[in-house]
Amino acid sequence: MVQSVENLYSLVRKMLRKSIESKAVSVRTFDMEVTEDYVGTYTIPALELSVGAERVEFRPKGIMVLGAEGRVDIRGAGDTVTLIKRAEENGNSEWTVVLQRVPHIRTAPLDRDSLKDALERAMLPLP
Amino acid sequence: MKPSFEPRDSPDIDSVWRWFEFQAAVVREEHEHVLRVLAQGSDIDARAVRTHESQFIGLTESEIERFFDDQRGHLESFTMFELLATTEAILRIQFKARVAKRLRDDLSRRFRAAHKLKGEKIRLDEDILAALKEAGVATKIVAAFRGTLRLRHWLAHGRHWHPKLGRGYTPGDVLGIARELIDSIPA
Repeated sequence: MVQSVENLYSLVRKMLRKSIESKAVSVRTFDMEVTEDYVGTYTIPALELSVGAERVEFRPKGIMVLGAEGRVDIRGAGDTVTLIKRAEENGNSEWTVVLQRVPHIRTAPLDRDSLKDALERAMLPLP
Repeated sequence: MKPSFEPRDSPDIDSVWRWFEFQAAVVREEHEHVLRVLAQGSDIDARAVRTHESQFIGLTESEIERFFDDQRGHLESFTMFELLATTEAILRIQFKARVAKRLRDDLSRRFRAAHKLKGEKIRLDEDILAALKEAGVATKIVAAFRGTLRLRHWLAHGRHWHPKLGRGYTPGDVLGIARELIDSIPA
């Protein structure tokens, strides 16, 4: 899970490279503890993105999640957006953004556009 | 399937209870199925997740527990409401029948007097329950049912305030109270 989460953060940093270089977005990681049934407590990095006064955190939720290999929540003042890592038909596992849960789950592959939408959802809307 | 908006001729609290027990069993079975699938971890067979279960993908066990607790809570609230609404229907049908049949017993006389005074604007508490009490139904039975009217009001209006019920209720409690009142209606 730790490796998988670090790969996700690398991907996010890569997608936001221009904004990070221009200092529009600042990034830091910090360690957090996750406790799961059957797994116990372990330490795993969380990622924090700051855009002006706005802040969102990528917080791993665990590996014992239904039908997925892992989950990270993007938590902000506006909303929480879920990322799940799922096995694709080609056998590879990819991170996807959960767009809706009901009536049926709808996800989008994590790319620059879906990340932007997810961050906009997680952050408070501009007044 | 479209819901039927036809009037029910013979509302019956036992059928509400059978529906509740069946739904509770369905919720329990679904909960167990989801936990079985969760236990497979990331090796899960995607075909094991049924269409209506796709909303659970990515949820942790405690989130799934909360979901099913909510399902049971909704089911219990709705069942209590349905039991009380069905009991009201039974009482109102009794009221109309006794008024129409012009029976000479004490309860029928009281119902007719209320109908003469208020026409179609008969109130459950002031007219029907009061008449039942005056006609000899045990005070504690009527009082117990009156107590549930606050619960019914709270459920019917979306539970957006903290109700002063004076006690807690389960669907079993409400069934018992409703059954006792229905069984006490003089023949």
